[in-house]
Amino acid sequence: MHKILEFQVVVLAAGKGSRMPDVGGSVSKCLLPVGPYPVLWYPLNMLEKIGFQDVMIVVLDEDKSNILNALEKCPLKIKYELIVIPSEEDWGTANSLKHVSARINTDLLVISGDLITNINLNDVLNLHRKHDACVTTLFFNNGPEEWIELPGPKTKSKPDRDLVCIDKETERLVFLASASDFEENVTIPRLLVKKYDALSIYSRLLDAHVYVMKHWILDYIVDSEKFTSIKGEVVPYIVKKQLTKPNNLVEKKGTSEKNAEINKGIFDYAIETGYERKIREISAYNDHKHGNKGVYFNDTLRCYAHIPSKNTFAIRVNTLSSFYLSNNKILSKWQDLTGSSLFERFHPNSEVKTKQIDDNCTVGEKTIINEKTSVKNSFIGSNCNIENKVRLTNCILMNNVTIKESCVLQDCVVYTGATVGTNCSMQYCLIGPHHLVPESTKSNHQLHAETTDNMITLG
Amino acid sequence: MSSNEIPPKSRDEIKAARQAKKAAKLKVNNKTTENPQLTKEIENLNENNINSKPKVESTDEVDKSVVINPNAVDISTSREQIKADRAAKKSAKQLKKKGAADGESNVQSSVKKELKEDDSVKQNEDMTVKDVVETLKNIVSVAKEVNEITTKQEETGKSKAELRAERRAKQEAQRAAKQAAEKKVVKPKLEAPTVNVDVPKKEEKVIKSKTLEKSKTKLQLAQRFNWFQHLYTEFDKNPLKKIPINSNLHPAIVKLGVQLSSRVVKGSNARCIALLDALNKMVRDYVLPAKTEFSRGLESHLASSLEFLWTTREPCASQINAVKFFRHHLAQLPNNVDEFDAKKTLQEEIDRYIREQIEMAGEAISIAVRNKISNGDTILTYGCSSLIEQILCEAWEAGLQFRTLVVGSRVSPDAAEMLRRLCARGLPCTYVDFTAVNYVMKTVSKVVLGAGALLANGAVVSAAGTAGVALAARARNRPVLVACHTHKFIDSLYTDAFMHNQIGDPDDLLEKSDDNSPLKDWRSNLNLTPLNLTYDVTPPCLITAVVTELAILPCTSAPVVLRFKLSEYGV
Repeated sequence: MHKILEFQVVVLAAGKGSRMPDVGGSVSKCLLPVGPYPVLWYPLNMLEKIGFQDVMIVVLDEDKSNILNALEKCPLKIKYELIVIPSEEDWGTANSLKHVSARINTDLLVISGDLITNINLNDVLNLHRKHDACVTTLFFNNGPEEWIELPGPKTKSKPDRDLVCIDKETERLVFLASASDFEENVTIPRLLVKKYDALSIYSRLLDAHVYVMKHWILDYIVDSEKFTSIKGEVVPYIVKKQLTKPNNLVEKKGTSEKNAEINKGIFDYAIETGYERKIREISAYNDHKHGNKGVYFNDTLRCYAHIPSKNTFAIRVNTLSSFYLSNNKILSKWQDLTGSSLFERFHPNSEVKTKQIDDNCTVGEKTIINEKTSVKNSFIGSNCNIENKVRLTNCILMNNVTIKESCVLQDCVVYTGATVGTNCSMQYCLIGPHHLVPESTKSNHQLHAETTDNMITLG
Repeated sequence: MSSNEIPPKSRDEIKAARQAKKAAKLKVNNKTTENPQLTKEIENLNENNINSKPKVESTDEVDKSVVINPNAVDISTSREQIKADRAAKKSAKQLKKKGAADGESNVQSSVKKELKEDDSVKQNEDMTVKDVVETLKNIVSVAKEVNEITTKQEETGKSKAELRAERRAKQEAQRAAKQAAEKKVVKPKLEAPTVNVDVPKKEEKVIKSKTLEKSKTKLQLAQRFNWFQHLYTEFDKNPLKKIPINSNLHPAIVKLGVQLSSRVVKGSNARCIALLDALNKMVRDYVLPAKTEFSRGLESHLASSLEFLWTTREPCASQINAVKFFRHHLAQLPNNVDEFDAKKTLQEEIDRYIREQIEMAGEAISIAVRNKISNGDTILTYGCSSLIEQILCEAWEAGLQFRTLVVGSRVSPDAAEMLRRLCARGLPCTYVDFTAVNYVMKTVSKVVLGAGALLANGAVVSAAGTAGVALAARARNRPVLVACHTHKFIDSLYTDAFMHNQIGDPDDLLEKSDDNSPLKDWRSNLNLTPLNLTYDVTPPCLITAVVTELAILPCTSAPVVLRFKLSEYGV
């Protein structure tokens, strides 16, 4: 039976991790380990769980083979297809979408590759279906991020904030802007105040980067060529355009065909083929109480934002703190997030010789943990070698890490291929990829990496 | 006399003896499978019988014809014995159960506890098995006596007396068995509680927790109004969370399902058009599988789509008729039809249906009603109906001067929506709540109502409250016109709103603006059962006339319209 797909999924996993600390060398954001699997596995698993069978994953050229290797080792039934974009050019998310647009012929679900959440995506899709929306987004209102002492040098990073304005009753998204665009005052269009009797303005929402869009929006993005980022440009533009009325048809007829082609606005894409307008007119439903406007204020463009209840778990692994926090919480939320229990905490091909390893640890393939080591609350990647008399507490070890004898590591993140020399003692440290930490180093809140800037902080 | 009478008796007796043997064998076989202990007892019994036989024979060797009798009697008694045995065992078992039950009832716990009482029951069993053996022995002795008596009687040849004696013996044996069983089961009953005391406490806890769980489900069940239990399939919003993604259903169908369920598409005309629109899109995108007839392939696809849609909301009359119409045209497609042509035909038919049955019919009704409205009238209408809106707006635009009274209930926002739409077109309107209907009715000149469905008996199914308005109009003797497309006529009939109805969202009953509403957490209050019915049925006697696109009819001519449509459109 030939299927008519309702949504096609694009997972954006080509992020370079610009909000992560620079540890020298390249670390692909979507392959950061969270628990036993890379970050990218979680959105894919979520999609699989609610019933999607195919996804397209947009990845950077240089990461493709790594990602393929990593995903092969994860339990996934969903069919995925990697779509490569060049690493050198700094493509935005909208550019990536343009790149895949030829393969998309239905409505579109765009998900960021670094989202870990237990929300039922059907809620978002149903909101989209219910109002026949053009864009539906997902925000989380989970309060400020938990404070946690982070490894690495102390920084004062200011998280990006968005101003999100939502009509609470209908979940209509009416205003969206980045907080950094404003200095002191925020001006909200007068029309909004006129339209809605109550609006909720949020500034601390976590944007999940989940977008459900109509197919014509993609056409518009492709044709207009002025967008580079979905979140930064496309969605705010459409949200803003909700307020304007489509131009009069009469005016257009006056202009020549060529001009019409150039001036094709967003409203020319939003064409309904069936009886949608008539159904809206005669259905007794209305989404607002006051005023004499019809349903949806007769708007053709409608954007919605779903905000799930406060106790849903959601995290975007795009900063060091969220990365560290997600690892901290992943095992306690495992059942909730993945819908299955974690059977193999230690990979069958690993050699765990010590008995002092607690239940909150995972060990990857071909990793050797020697005797007389103590491992607590730590995630250890594959091909690692942990020698005798090592103590690890709250650590994250990526692949190919070697920890020499008698080291004591607490709350550290050790990147791929790093080696820690014998008798080191480290607290809250970041150890960059392929870095070699000399013997008997003692440090606290330091970054050990190959970059020249940070060499000063060593010792 | 005696010599003549004896042979037939003996024959009968021989037959009886054979049957008894067979039966006895069968029963013995059955029992061997049942319980080894019992079979032993039965063997004992048989031994006893065998033992008893020679005695009898020895005493009764006088007459050969009589010799047969003792055997027959013997065997028949053995059968009776077995019967008696079984009866005794049954009664013993029942008593055992009773005893157990009594014991439990003493400790105030239910019958289900037997599981953990197994140990004590086993003890009981041991006891009772002994008892049974004893009672059986008793029975055997009784049977011996019976034999003796019967043999003596047989000597005298009193056959009727024999039978009576046998019956008495049976009864006696059963009584004895019962009494014996009772006595001996009573003892363990007394003993049992001492053993059981510790166990039930734990069980009570278990049961308590179980009852808690049950009470949770009961809580949900209890908050369903008793008379309408059969209607509660809706507002079980879980199906929406489990909508299959990218399944065989067409996206338009899935979207419509969500919209129907969330009441974004409501009103029978809107639902009908939305359904046809979704079907139209489904037909457009349908790809015929290889080696399938178009109509059959699409029919199965349609069936699964409709199954999904009806789980989101029960179909209304207009939707049922639309589906009937679609199926009719689908079935009429020739077998060898080209896919493209078939799609084109179906899409054209759908468009035609919407145009003729809804749009043009609406215009015809609008004109018919407009002719009945005169200047200076006050028109009362209830709830929101797209057709009434069209009628009133067009009448206003045609220059008629009239006033509109919109009546609404607090529960549904429909009437407010109607008011908004009329006001937006500049009609002079008044809004009153349903409670004030009787008061304003004296100022009204005509009542115009919309309909959800018109039944074969002329009753109108419409938004809850319509019947009340019609009744109020009747009391004041005001004409009640029901405007209804013929595509909403349906050939089923019911006289009340109990059998077929829909349960609305109970949360609609709440005053949302009031945070201190006592109804706020009704879900946790078991004694509170909100009931929000969607439809009611207005009986034909309250309706003056039905305005259809065909004519203005008395509503009792609904069957005529149905017949006409059948002959005209085949649907």
